[in-house]
Amino acid sequence: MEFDIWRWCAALTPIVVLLILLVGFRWGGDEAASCGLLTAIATGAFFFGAGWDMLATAAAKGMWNAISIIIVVFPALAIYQVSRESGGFAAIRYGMEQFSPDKVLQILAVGWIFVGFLQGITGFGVPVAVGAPLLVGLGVRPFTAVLITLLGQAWGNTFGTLGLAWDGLMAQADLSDPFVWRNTVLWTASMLGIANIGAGFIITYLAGGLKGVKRNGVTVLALGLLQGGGQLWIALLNPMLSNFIVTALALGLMFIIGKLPYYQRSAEDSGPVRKTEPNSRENRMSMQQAFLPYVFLTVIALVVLLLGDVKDYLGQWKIALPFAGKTTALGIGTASYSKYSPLAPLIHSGAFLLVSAAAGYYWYYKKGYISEGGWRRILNNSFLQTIPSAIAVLGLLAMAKIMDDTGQTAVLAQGGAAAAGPLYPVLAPFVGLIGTFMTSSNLSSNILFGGFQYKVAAILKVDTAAILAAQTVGGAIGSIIAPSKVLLGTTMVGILGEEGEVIRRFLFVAMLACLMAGLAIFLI
Amino acid sequence: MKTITMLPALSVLAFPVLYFAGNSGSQAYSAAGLFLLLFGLMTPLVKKLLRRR
Repeated sequence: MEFDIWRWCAALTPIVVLLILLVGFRWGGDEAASCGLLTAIATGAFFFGAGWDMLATAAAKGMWNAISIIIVVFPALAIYQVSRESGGFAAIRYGMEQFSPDKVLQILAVGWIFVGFLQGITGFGVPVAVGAPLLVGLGVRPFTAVLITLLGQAWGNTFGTLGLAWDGLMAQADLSDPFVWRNTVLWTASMLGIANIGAGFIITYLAGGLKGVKRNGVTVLALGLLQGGGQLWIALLNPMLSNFIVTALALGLMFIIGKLPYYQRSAEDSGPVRKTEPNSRENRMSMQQAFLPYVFLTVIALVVLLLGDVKDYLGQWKIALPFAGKTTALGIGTASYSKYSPLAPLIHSGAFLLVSAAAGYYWYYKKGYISEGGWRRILNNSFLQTIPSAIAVLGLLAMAKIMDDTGQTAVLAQGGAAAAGPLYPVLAPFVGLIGTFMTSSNLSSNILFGGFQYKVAAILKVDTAAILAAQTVGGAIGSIIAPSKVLLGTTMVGILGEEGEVIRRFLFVAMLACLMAGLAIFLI
Repeated sequence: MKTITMLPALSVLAFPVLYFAGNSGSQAYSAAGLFLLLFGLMTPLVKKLLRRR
């Protein structure tokens, strides 16, 4: 299809509408999603020649994709409610004070290191859904807790979830040349490592202001270098395990750091941390017991994902729907699928969370931490909190799929490439960012734009490895402003409706990070 | 207000309509499915507008 500026403007409209409502008018994601979807339907029908049947099929595909996220939201809320009902959060707060009296280090341990570790093994928004309420339990303000967890999970989006997004990128580009593969790993891991150090410093600033940065700067730098350098080295050997191994090591190291005499001294804290009152009843529970649902989660995820036989056995049950191929009046066609985006419920993060929540509930109930009828309150509260998130996720992913199937996404990317020309490397991370912003997934962004970036790099004769790295790094950075991920955080800490404010705070940070990555590629 | 709280269910109902109408190529049912989906998803917006009034 020939490039047309009007069509490009039309394709941009749904994203602009969404951004204006979220950032400009500070609407919640659930309120803005339907308007974005309506705009995408209108532009698809009137500017891209999509028939109603094509739009309906694309919307159904988007809704199907949304199920993967929604089945994380409900059990994540359930695990949160189990901890709340049992008094686990108060015990974690008390236990963390015993670990180190330094509030900023406690926040770094949970919001940066533990969240990063969760991203290494689970993904799909679980780190945000689990980490944000834990931080609130430590006394962090809900809004700041969402910001911190979004930053903490970002760098692990490519090599985390056992390298899923990386695999997605590899599937879209021909990296049979070992030299190009190696350079792609080097570019990606280097940029993500630097982004992670930046995120560590921003988290430290959010937790303790400049004073916190001064006191913890060396620790953040050391942990950041260990994680970034370690991932760079291990990814060359095994991209699938690289993020998980380094985040697990960092988690262990964090506990050692917390025991250092330097961190056993109390530091005066300021900033977003609420002063919390001493606990009474809840302190009967130890921190180990309070973390039990999360330990269950880690063990289950590791057993299922790392033991091939277990994964294969449980993964044999898949649900998938056939979808017919459709073509627009402009000749843009979608493939026909006999099994579209198969969902394996037993090896999905949602299943891990659900089992962990159930096991945690059973343990706490047996130990008397949860009173009679607690399960009813847990289920009821989890269900009620899931609805607004589900509405937003359904709307946003239906919008993204309509834009993708009707060719709007491709036109957006083509326009950018045509306008940028030799400056395209600077723009490449922004393409990845848009992909994640729309789909809330680094994997989906790589699938959506990986092939496109590869082709543009070949046409413009620029370094393929660097452009592919820019794609996935931009996608990882985009996860801090992805509406569905932001929604998970705001839902979990009870500030639903403040998604626009979160995105507004991070929009500039995300743009700047992408610009720096793009400039690095362009100049080097 | 009670009716409004039930509206999100429409977006769930919209899925089979969109799926079967879209796959079979029915323009009218597909449009109806999209309308149903939008109507269901607009619940938070309707609530927001009602709260303002």
